[in-house]
Amino acid sequence: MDVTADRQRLTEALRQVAAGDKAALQRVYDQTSAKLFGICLRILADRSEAEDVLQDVYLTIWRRAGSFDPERGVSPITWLAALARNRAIDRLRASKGHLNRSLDMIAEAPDPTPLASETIERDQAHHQLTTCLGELEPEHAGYIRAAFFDGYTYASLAEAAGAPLGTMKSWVRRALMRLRTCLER
Amino acid sequence: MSDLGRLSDEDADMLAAEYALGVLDNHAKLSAERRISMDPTFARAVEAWQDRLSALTAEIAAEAPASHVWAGVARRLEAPGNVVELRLRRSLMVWRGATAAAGSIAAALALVVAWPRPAPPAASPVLTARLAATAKGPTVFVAFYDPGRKAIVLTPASVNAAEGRSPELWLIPSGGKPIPLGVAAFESSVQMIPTASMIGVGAGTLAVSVEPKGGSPTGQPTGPVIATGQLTNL
Repeated sequence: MDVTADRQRLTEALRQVAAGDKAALQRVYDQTSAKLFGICLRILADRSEAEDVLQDVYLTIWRRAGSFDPERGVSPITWLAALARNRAIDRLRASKGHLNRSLDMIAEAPDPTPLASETIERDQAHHQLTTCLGELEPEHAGYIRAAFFDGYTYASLAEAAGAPLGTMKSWVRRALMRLRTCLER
Repeated sequence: MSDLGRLSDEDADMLAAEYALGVLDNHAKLSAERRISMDPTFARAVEAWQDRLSALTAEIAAEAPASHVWAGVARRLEAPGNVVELRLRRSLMVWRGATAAAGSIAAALALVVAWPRPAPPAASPVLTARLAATAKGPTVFVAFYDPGRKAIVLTPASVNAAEGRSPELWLIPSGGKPIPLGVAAFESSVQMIPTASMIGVGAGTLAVSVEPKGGSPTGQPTGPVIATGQLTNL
């Protein structure tokens, strides 16, 4: 798969969506819906909810494609993935059906079996991030994962971990700072 | 906006990280979203964190959604309620930027020109909005933004003139006070040229209210709102 060509194709399609081209929205959908649906499904763990959120995500892309600015250097798939994740987490929180997985489960290291890799570029970014997460206290890395994949907030993390809110905040902040430093190495 | 005070670079970057990770409570999250819409440096810091963390999505297996999902998107695109979405472009910088105190923009218009109907909007308008009393109701006004003239043209579609009254167009930013865009007319297109920097307004609603002839005396809507259309943000 040619990463640069994919990225250019997606960027161009988003530009056309911003200009009101509905056919371009379908091209964006064809190129990205499996990835974004995977994200919605992972977070919501409910196919019908995930489908509903996915529709909402593409309608949002339709309205907001103009706010994607390729010149800022963020890849279009990152922008879209962040949008899908945010929507799915909003839905999860609204449904109150979340936070039923134990933090211990989440804190477990990910399945070491590599997924069918999307691109070498993504693999490298993932490898670097997991390496940096691995340098944190395991519980702290678990909090980052629980927030990312399961929509935990400071308050729900503190409750789940039985720690004072202020303590949880300082743990997570320190973990984020260490992540940033590690990723910049 | 009192919670949008200055932060040190370090604190701003941490807030960006917390927002991107999603650990903030609702109040802090909304406040961060306001900051994103008003502070490009902060918005870029959020994107940088989204970029760093998004590598985790590589752990999520892709899965093709069922075919009815796209059909649902396509159907909703055609729904009448969607026509009201304003399509904003980057060329529309005049609409972005920092809204100074919304109330002080009563002088938003340098010029109001009326010409007889039908007045086709010149050039190719990149931004249109259908304004209606309800999402499925008949179109009451149509708004165009003409980037060449940096002008908004409000054209009546089906509206009954109110004797001795004037329709007035407002931009209502999310959570903000209405910003007057100009006094329009019931029977002709009116072109308005906003001069105030409207940067940072972000998402909002366009609304037409019925005011005393010549426009609202207070700088805020005083009469009934007869049509609205959604402005969605960049």
